[in-house]
Amino acid sequence: MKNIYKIFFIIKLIIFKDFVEEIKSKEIFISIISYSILVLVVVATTSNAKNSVEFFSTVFWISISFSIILGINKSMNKEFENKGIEYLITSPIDKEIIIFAKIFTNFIFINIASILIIIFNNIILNYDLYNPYFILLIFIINFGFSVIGTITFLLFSKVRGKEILSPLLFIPLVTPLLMGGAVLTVQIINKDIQNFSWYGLIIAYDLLFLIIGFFISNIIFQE
Amino acid sequence: MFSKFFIITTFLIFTFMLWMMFWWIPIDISQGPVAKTVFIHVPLAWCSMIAIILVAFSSIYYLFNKNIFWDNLAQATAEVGVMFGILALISGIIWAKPIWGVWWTGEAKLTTTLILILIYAAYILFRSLYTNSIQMKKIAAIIAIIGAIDSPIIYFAANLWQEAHPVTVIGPLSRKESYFGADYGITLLVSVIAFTLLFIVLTQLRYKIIKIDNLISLKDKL
Repeated sequence: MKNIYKIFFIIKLIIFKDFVEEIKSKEIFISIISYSILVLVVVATTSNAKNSVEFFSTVFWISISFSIILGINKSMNKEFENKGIEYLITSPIDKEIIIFAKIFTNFIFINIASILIIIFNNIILNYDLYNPYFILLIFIINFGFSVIGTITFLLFSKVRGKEILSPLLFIPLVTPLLMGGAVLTVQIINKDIQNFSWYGLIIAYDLLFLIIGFFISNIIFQE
Repeated sequence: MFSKFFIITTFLIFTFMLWMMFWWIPIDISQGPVAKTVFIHVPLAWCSMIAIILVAFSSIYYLFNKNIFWDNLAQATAEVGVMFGILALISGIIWAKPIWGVWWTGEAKLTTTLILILIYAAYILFRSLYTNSIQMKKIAAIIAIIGAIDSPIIYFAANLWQEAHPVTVIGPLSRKESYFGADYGITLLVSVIAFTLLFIVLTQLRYKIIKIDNLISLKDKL
């Protein structure tokens, strides 16, 4: 029991450290939010996304996923540039805890950014997404994004061309999440949710990659 | 000697399969000659699935044993598997146009197969850029295992998401009895055997090339 408190305390500390750093620089929030809003504004002015729910839901999830790539890359790159990861690895902390802390940090950043994107989306495209089902959906999909994003970035962290390789693996891996997100968003907007099994599938996918992250953390951080 | 025998056997079975496919079985009444694509599409998809399973197992073995044989085998199987996967997609597209009226749909099984090919393309790109370090080999093994996790999703996709793709008619997940006649069934079996042998031959050849490549790079280092 004492160990569990200790683990949570370390995770809390790492999240706090990243949060303080982000409050100072605001780089991640600005990159995620500005990119998503830019895509939504361009779509609103050049297409009929206001009339087609299917088109809107696809554009919405694509804009979120691409902006999240930017955000995660930014956050992890900063950690490597400042040698934050190096210090964490050399400290007497389990590698699994480091990877979980990074996942949760990214999860918090992505969720805050997503809430702002939903508000802007309501203003720009006039789709009402303030629905508990949609909040749950964005919550579980964002968790998947942060787990897969962190793992893919860390896998390629020590190699040249990581900026190309990590999205090349990230996008195919999150496609099932995007598919589920697009299908459920349409049903939520139409107030006719038929496929609750999608929620189960997305949660299972998230947990699967969380377990993978747990098992590979030692290999990723090996010197 | 064994290798030559294997190649000759593959060639003979392949020739026999082509004879069965084009001359022995009659043209399907409902789909016409395009129905014969099944004898290319299904074995190619089958081989790409076998490749994924092999890559995953070899990668897991490599992570536990650190034996270079498993790493080389994973690389060879992944490369041949991706080639078979791409060909399966192309043959599927050719089959889909006259039957569904479109080249491509956003249907789950198609999309997931494409995802899998993209994941293994990333794996091959990663391997082609970084081959020497042991940690890179371990990371490549992890990518291969992650890619393999997607393969059951492909198999279950048709049953989970039930869209335009025909439901599974062969295998443990099949919901209805197969609509294949006996002659179609036998030809399909022969074509699966022929393509599997071809897959083994190509993987074996690629494995040998990788092994020689590794020896050359090791010699250069020394």
